[in-house]
Amino acid sequence: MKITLTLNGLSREVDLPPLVRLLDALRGPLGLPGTKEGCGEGECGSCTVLLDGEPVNACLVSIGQCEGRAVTTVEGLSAPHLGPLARCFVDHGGAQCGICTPGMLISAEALLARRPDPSDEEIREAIAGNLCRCTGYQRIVDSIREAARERREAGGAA
Amino acid sequence: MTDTRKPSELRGLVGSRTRTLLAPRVTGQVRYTDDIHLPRMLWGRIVRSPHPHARIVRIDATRALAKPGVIAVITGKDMPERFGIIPWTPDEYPLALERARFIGDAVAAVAATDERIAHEAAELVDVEYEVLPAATDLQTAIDKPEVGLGKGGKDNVSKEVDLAFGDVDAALAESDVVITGDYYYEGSAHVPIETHCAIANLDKNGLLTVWSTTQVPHYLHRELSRVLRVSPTRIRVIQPPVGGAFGGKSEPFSLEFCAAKLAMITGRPVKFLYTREEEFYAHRGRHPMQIHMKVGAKRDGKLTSVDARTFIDGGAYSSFGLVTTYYSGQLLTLPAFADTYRFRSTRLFTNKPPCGPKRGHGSVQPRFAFEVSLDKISRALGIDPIELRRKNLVPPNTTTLNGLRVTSNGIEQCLDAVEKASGWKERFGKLPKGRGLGVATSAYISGTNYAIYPNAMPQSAVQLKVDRSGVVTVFSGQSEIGQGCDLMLAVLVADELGLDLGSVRVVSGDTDLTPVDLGAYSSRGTFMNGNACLMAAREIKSKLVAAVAEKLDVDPRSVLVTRGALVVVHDPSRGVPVTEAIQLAEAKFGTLGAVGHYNTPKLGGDYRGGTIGASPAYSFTAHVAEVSVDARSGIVRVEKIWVAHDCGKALCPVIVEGQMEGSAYMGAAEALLEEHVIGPDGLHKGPNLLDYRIPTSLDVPDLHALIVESEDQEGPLGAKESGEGPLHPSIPAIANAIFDAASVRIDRLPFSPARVLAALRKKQADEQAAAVESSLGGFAPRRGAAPPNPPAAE
Amino acid sequence: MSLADLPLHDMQRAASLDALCGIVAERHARGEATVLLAGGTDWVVEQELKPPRGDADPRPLVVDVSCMAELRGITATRGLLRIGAAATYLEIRRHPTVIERAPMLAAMARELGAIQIQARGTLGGNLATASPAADGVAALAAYDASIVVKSVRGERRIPFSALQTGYKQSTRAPDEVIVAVEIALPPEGSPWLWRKVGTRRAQAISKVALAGIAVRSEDRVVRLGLGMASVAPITATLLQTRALVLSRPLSAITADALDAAVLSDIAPIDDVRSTREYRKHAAKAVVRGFLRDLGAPV
Repeated sequence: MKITLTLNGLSREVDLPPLVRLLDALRGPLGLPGTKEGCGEGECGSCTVLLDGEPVNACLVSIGQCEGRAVTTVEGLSAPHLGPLARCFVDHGGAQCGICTPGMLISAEALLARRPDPSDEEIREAIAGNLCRCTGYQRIVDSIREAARERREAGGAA
Repeated sequence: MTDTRKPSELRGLVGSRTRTLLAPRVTGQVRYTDDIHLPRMLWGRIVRSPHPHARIVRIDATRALAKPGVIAVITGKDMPERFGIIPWTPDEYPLALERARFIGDAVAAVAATDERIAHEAAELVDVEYEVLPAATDLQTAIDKPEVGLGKGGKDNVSKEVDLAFGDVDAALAESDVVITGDYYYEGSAHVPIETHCAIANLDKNGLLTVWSTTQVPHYLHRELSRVLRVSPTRIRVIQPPVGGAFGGKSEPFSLEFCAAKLAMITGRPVKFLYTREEEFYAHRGRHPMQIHMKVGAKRDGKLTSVDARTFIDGGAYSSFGLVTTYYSGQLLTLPAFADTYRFRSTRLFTNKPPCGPKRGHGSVQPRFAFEVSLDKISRALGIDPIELRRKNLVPPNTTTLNGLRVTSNGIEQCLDAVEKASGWKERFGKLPKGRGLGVATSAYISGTNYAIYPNAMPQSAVQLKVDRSGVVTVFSGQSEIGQGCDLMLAVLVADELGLDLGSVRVVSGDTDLTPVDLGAYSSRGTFMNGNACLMAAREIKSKLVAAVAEKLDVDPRSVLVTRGALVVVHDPSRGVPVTEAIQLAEAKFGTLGAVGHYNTPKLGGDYRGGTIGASPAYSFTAHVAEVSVDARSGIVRVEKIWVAHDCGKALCPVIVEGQMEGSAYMGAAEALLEEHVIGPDGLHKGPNLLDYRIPTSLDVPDLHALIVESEDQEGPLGAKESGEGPLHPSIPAIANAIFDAASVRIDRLPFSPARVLAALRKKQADEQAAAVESSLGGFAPRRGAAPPNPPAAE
Repeated sequence: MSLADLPLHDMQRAASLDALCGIVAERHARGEATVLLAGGTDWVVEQELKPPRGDADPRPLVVDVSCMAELRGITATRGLLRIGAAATYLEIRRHPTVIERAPMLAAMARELGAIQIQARGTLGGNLATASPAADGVAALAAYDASIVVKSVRGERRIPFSALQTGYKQSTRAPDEVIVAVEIALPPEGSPWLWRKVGTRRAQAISKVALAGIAVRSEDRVVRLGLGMASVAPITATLLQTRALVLSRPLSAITADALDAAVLSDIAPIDDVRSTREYRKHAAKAVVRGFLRDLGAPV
């Protein structure tokens, strides 16, 4: 089945069985291995991508369901330079092993797009679907809070 | 020489320059093992036993091999060589040869053209089993030796340790108070977000390359050679960045052997990726332990003796179990301890996924029992629990009663730090009902003193390559598993040579490119690999200094390395940029390069097992946890944890703090949430992330990391470990805080709502009964004050 | 790469609801199954966990309904809230009318899974899967919602009380498509409760969850809706408890009577998420909590 979608702002076409997971389509034929698989059951959030602006687990979305829709992956967030979000994750220790980080950044991006000045509780709620085993989350929350501040000061630009 | 700079100066060095090294992690550009795809690659899949204990009668792969896309099937007979991470207890086969010992044990493996077909083919491998009696819990393993899981099949014993230091019985008899308790520490899993993955490829020159998510490439290299009967000169192990490990990837696993064997058979690259479910079968997680512990003290709070009897649930194989059994007692003697000590530990095999080393290997469980015992003593004697610990601290620069050599020791500063930060003096025992504070301490090794296989060679080594462009490359055998060892090395080199972090590259974890390092376990990275790196960097530094001194015509002793330049001490206006210094040195000495290594001094007690627990340096930790206990639901919420940790010197403060917080979080998770539910049938009831519950961002407390620096004389720039020690006190600190909040002792993990509720109800009933008794004038029989310990898991 | 048979399934979209009903009916008549796929938060996971069976078996046709306009949308007219079966929980919790007039539903949706699950999960999916642990279904039980279903034979409404017949069994015919749910909105400001006792604070299956909505007149509750997840083979509607509360003034309700009614309404079991005993305790505690909020001395 031919599927056309907007991927990181560019129109892309793939020819795949429609129930191939979006995750596999991204990591394989679409050449974007930045999105990670941690469980394949919609629990860990490592494969979080934006589907029409909302965070979803790419392991539960079928590529056929993406026809005509917009998908954003971690590769679409930072090119060509590190944005404030990615930079804050480095500076504040928000990434240790890094395997949950792509999904974490996507969830954070979705939050900041709606809430430029989130409370810590709102940050924690926004990333509750992204399991991290390294940090204890404290530094991730710090990173997102700091990125929000930087973005507000820069006038909301990513 | 001790480096006396303050952490703020090193922080300045790290600063935003870490970005060049860490940018790939925040842009999706790190290539983990599963991100590697090779042309013509096959997918492997392991066939697993559905029985907890069974003899393999026959394996018939006919149906699987008939399926289009299936290339090969292997069984235990293809690799009939035992292995095991501890050379004295090899009891595993890559694929079970005669007996499967747990549900999920590997019995065969297939290779097919895609992952789905491999999965399907695995279902088509027909295995005939003769089901054998099984022991799926500790008690059965003790009661039914005839299950015969131990060596020789006579019993189920894996390892027994019985050590005594001083006259324990006499000391207990002379004690003013003796606290006796039974504690149960539930097993838990590492749950790295990246599951195990391995790829193997045999090239036309006969070189077998194995990419693996391992945290011990060197040991994997050795075992692959032994089991596959291939010369190590024909094997290369590459360890790409690892997506979390926590001890769960610190020995060889079935998938690495199977990938290699299938690559050798098929002539094509073969990849295995464990599913989340398989991750729970590979396991090697925290051992469940049943601990009976007595701790005695004098009226003034001086501890007299500790006496522990421990049963350890080892699961199906030995793994690191020999060491675990020693660790269940050996690391307890710091930071606060008694004058006499005895522990007897028995590790038993059971028909469950094998346990192994999880962050704080073997020592987290007894630490829980001991630190809760101390809390009970403090209550019994009316001494503040922080004061009680202060009265019993082992001082710096001494030897413990079990022979551990202690050098730097910042536990007092750790206790001061958490006492102050938590407002302990004003708040402990004074918070409203349902809210409480608890304290606990611990100590941990900075690497084990001895390699897993006896040898006289260095434990750790690096090579430095210095390029005339000004770039220095560190080749290190250490394993970057997210703990930040690559960055640690870069900081040391940059600091020593005056370079910008962006000018240091780190190549790690590749047996062809990097010198041998024993791997990322026992918190050895910073101390051992850091020292090796400093040795090499200092050799380069001396050449740069010599070349600059010659150029400026000054005494080499007056040349100082600063950020970006080498300058004359008394006339800093005279200097040479680092890059130019490198070129001068290359002109003077020829191509620049250096090697550095680290080996441990001879340490440890002079008795059998006295080397286990020996380490060149110990880290120290104190926690204060603040909890709330909801009496209606039994739900415990950890509100805050203050964690003070003596890491010697924080080479990268942001990473040290991250390790401290990550440890505290992982301990809190074990305390409150995590639990394997395995039925009497041996089946894991929730091998997934929905039912094996690791915390979400909403479940964790606010974490406050307080770095304490004791400047270890032997550590690199004074540094010690920070990755495992800070986990230990989490569990007892929370348990003790629950007592402060609700006056109940929960001596069994996890502190689940049902268990806490049952304890609260029992206490209420006891109090009502006591009220009746006192109204009867005290003639009613006294009720036991035994801690509630309901057997059923919630 | 997915291990499951998923890529072997065929999937299509339907041009309209009528066309969808036609596809389902035709296939049903031939004895073939059809899966209506929305967020996939249950069905896709279920497929992943099944052992693969390869090319041999007949597979259901999957119809992607996640973007079908007739199954989406949230509207409120004359006191009736209508939520499309394929509207996501994220849309529900953010919808101004839901927030204002059905705050319990919004509260439920907010605690369901994590945002990634809320962005995909739907009431229609929860109803189709019919798990007694479904939070969304417990909320519908409390609202005494109607389930709008459609087939080639026409459209009908199934009152919640007539929906569930047993574990994962319902009175919906196999060829009936779930179109929407309809909720008769209680008066503005009616007391409500959503209380989830989960296995953790997010990404959790309820050990027990209570949805409650009440209309109070002085010392009496005159209308009461209750729904409870994870305490029985079907979503519990707590009829004995409702009857007790409606039968007497709030001030005359005793804790003992309330506890007894709750226990007679539920039949919890031990599982990996909780125990029978703890569930009983939690069920009583959350109902008491709601009644206490309403003014009963319990």
